Amino acid sequence: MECQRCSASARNPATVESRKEKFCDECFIKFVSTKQRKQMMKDEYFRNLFKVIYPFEKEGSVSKILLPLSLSDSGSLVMLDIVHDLLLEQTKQHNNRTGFTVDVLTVFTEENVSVIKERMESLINEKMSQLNKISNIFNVHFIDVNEFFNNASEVSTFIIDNENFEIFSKSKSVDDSNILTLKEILGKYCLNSSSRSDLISIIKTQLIKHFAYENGYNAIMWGHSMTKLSEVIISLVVKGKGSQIATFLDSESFDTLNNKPCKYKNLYPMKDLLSVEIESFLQIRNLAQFLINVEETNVKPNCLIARKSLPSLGQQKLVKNMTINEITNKYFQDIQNDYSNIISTVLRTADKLTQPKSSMAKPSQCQICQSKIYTNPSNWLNRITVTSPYPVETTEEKYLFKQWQDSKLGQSHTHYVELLNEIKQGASNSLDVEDSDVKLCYGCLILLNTSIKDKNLVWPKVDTMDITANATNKNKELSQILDQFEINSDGEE
Amino acid sequence: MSFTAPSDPVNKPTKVKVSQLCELCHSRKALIRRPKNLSKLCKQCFCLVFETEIHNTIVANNLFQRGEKVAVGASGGKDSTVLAHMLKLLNDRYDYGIEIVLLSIDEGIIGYRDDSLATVKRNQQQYGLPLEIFSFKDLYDWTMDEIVSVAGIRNSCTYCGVFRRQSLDRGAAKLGISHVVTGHNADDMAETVLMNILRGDVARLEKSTAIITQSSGSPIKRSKPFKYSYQKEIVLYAHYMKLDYFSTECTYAPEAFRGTAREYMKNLEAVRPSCIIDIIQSGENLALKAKKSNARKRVVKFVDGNRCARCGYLSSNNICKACMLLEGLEKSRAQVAIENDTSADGAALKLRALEKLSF
Repeated sequence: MECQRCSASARNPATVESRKEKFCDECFIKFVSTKQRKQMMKDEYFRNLFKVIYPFEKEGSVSKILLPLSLSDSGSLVMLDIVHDLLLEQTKQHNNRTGFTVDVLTVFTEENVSVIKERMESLINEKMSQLNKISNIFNVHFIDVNEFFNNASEVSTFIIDNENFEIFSKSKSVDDSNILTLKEILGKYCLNSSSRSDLISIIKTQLIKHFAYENGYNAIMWGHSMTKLSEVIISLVVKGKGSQIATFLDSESFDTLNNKPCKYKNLYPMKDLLSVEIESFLQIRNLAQFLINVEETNVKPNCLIARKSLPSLGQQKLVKNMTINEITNKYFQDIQNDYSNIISTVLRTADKLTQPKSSMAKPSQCQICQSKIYTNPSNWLNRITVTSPYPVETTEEKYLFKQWQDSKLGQSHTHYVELLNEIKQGASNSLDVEDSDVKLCYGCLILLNTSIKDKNLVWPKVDTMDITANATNKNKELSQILDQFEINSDGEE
Repeated sequence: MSFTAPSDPVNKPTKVKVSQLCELCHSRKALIRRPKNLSKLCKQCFCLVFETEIHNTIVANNLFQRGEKVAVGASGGKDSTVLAHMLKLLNDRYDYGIEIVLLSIDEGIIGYRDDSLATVKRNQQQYGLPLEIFSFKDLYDWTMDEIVSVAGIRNSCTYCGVFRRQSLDRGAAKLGISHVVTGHNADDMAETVLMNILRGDVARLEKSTAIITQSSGSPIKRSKPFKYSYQKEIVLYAHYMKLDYFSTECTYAPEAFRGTAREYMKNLEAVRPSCIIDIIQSGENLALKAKKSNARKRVVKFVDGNRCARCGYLSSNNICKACMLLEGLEKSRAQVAIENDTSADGAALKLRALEKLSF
């Protein structure tokens, strides 16, 4: 079998088969890189960001790009590899000058901090050393996921009224005694793996966007493949967040954060590539060694012709232990053989969507996921759900009701009612319950109502958050970690 | 020795534990976990809640006008049986002032539709509602069994869907009724939302969650009062109210792609039971970008209310889908037929019987 892309005179043996075409290693890498670069040049804004502009000394001629790197996801690693090649090319062609600088940002947790450090070090030393010698083009940053909680001066407790789905909240200032941690939030409030994964994803996205906002980046390059994007789109629909699809995919407008306009746009350079193609690229370039938790990631059988072996999938999870995104991913894998174009169709359809018309009196933003709210979720849910009981009639029923009231179950219910009343009272003192005070989007309301213990959640107030400015002063331990892990442009710790 | 009365094993009072009580009234034993939100409910609370939710949907969307004559698309299955029962119940309870007629379509599937129509006839007696039956044979001169023998079993849903939709409208028009109510439930609607995204059916994407569908050129509107009602709750309600319904699935193959979406939703429900209404919520908030006009491209504009050149039925094209399908069928119809031939009758039924054979 020969590569179909090589010139007729010197055809290399084919190693990869994708989209009914056979490629050799070199042609496949070119194929993947071209797909990514095409997205990076998709409109004038991005073309100006990435190309070298002369005169070079002119202010703003070098743009700042943020590249969130997750070592448990091959998309962002492959994207970094291609961007690295592009930067090297530019330095060669333009006398060590590039059109943009790349800041790699990795969010770490307590559990994976050491392995991330080790893998990042070897990645920088083995793959990026050449570029790293040229100052300021390539920087690496780390953020502790708990920064999300450490840097808010206030937290809010949200609670859902189980009779009418109204959301009430109460804020209090944070001191050393009540700083939240991710572990606490996930352990104390989440009832299943899906809610845990949703909250982690919200926190990581918020951290990255805050970092981009506060450091004045021009674009965030997300490593989502076409498969991943389709999975997210369908999962958003399933979670009742369909209205957010258009904003999520938007790479034409500048982002907004907490109602403030940002200087950056979101870009998905890998959106034309299937995850199997990314996995193949990873194998050819020998990048899989830098990934962590490979057995947990969704490594699928790839399209490599000769080297079929890949890290094993591990034990298959039971459906009830899977997250919504994992179930969606499994669905795509299952039907991919019979309906091959379904992934691209989902993305193409989602690209045609726009923001729905808002029925809100005032523009509101969800205080958990920061997305725009278009309809009052409590009213919608209240209209279609009845929570009033059939009347208590017989003496036996009255007796049982009394028994329930006196029981532990009744008391725990009373505790919920007490908490609700306390927050309600606080809310009525300061706020009117109007459309303008809608605090959560439908998806987050449902998350709280169905997957969070006692329907209440403590969450940092985003408008009181400052991710980078005072981070090191606030937390000595964190500053030590940052000192330890921040890699400067010379590649030294 | 004193006499001790033997204990009464039948009327012995059962002790209800507090943890077994209904989560709404806290005074009766919970019998079910509500599929919509998994709350434990007693029979009385479940039925009241289910009925009131449908009433709320009807009122909030202003589905009925006083004095209106409404046709219930009745197939004898669980959805339409509960719908007929529910509309009669709510009409009496809340005085909507509507006149209800059962409207059935006989597709001509021997071993399936004949049995389900028998159920509809029993329902007619039970609820005291008038019933009208229209058949594919009368309207199109084809039965579904004949269509399948010509077009094959894989395409059965395409033909049946197009003809049934049109038959309901034609039937209602003949009876002078301008409102057809169907038993489409929340599961059907969520499935449709997902399928429209998965198949990229942009034309239907925005309209897929509409509770009332009406075309400006047609006098007949359709509505779905069960839009927010879970299929499982409909089945439970039918069970507790002891409703008489026909529960066999259509003997012809279900649409393969819909089957995959159904399986996917089943898995999702295991993780988050509310996902069905969550999908509908998302579906209601999907909006399409305005199309960029392309001057060079000749655009055939969709005209609402356009009519088929052959049969005069509503159609977005010059000739409606039913007429196009009929034309294809006529071409394949056998020129010579055996007198009193019944070989095509119940083809699906025979296939099902053969599938179950084991040696």
